[in-house]
Amino acid sequence: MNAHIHPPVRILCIGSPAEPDNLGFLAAHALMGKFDPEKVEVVALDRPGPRLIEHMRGADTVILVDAVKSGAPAGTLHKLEGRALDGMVMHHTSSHGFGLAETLALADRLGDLPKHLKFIGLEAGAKPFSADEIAQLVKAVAEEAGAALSSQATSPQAEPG
Amino acid sequence: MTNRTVNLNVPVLARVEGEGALDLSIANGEISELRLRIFEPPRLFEKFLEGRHYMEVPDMVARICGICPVAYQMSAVQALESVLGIEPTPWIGDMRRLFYCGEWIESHSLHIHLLAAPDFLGFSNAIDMACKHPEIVRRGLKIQEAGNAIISFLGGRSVHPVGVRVGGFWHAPSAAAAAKLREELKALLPEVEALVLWTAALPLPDETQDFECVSLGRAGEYPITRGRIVSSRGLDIDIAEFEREFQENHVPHSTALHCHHRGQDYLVGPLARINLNLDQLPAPTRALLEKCGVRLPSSNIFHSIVARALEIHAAFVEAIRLLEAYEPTDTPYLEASPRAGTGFGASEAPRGILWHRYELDESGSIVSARIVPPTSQNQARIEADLRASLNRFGLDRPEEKIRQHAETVIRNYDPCISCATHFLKLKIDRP
Repeated sequence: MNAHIHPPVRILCIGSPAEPDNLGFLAAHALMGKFDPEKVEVVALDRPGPRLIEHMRGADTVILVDAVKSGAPAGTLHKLEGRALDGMVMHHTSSHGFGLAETLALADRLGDLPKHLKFIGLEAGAKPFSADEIAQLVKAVAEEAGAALSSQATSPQAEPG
Repeated sequence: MTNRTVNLNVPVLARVEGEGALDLSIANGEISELRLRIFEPPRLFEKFLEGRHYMEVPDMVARICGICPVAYQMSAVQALESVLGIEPTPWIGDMRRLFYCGEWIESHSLHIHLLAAPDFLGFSNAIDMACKHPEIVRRGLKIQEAGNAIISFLGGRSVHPVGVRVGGFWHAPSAAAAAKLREELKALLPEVEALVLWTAALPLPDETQDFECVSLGRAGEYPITRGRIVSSRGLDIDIAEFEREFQENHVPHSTALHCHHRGQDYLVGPLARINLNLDQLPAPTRALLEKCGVRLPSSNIFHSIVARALEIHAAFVEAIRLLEAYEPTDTPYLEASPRAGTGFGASEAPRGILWHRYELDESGSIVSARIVPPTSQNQARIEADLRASLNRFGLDRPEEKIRQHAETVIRNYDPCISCATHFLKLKIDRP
């Protein structure tokens, strides 16, 4: 039921517009306009639950952006992909019974995970994220999206033009 | 006037999102104490609304629930417009019904596939169920997405939609967008029919109980956005009379209020709605009901999952009908001047009647607000159901079996997503 054809590289930023769970929202706004919208889609998702599957469907590369609570020092930048993602996102707290971890597990069982799934997040602490920490996150996400685009351009499956 | 005993200076509305617990005491083979404890902190939305302008209300109340924001918006605008003297145009009325169909589809499909069905098929959760029945879960997600698409069509986005305002909608979608959505819904309709037959074939417990069903009705249509309040025991009142008949009480073990009808528990939600409004179902949905073999009205509360599936079908039929007749308008909303007064609104949220009352001053600011959600109305019924159902199930069973059965009973009411997900900490006291 997608309203339009989504680009193959998607940055899905998870978070509320309101503090303290607003990292994804801030990151999405910082990332919007940095990419050709026909090649990279940036979306802010406020606690998507199982709707995340709808947003990932058909993508080649999905970069999830969210805050993390893993016990690491506050502000630590986390970059994960593949099975390494399971353990980390299980620590992510969700206000709903069907959160990020459950949604990714369900997508996995249904075969709906994208070919390349990456996660970039910041370790949350007691204080709001600083502007420098958010800038560090945005830079890392932009580099990852750039790498995904380069990889697509050199892929033999990539469409010409 | 209300007879509730809570401190009216601090109105409390607790969504049941979060953790709950069941305390159960069994003595001499009987339940001596049963308490469904809900300890979600009070959210005080009614108090937040005081002093706000009425135009802020639709966006504020949408934040009460991530699953049924449309219901909160529709009950609110109905109440506020009754004060302001706004009579919605047929276009606005039709689009509100369409908007609401999207929420029923989205919410019911989520509950059927991700919350309730695993109980009846012996799975601990939907993820495990997806391993064995991926096609069923995938179909459920597709149907849920269709509901989200309808909400986005009018609301701009599917969660906490922003397209609603007092007086109508901010924007009329294009005819092309309506046609595209209509075709997508038509393509999915056979899968919805299959869903209804699938739920009817589930191995549901066969147990009946005596309870009063309460819903909106007598609206000349299957009740969604409007109607009188009717019941299976002869109640038939205007929504403004709700507080005379129904009383909310604070109980020590719950931050959600318990609501009773003249001292008795009662049922709201899809089974109550369909039991009381069978003759208003769209003809294709009635034909499907005949085919699925479930006899309605039903006093088996476990038929709620079938009622939800039938309501998804009815919502699809209605949405397609409304989209086939759709034409954009230059006046998607009506303006009004502020006016003092008190107004009432009631609509059928996916989980049952959602009742609102607002008092406005002459500048259009909210003086007081009262919101009675379906979850608080069903709480006393859930406790009564648990008592009867667990007695029938057998109190001498192992704790794990009792816990599973109790969870199944509670989830069957779809009290809310986080409450209905595996939450139960069962404490059994057997002397």
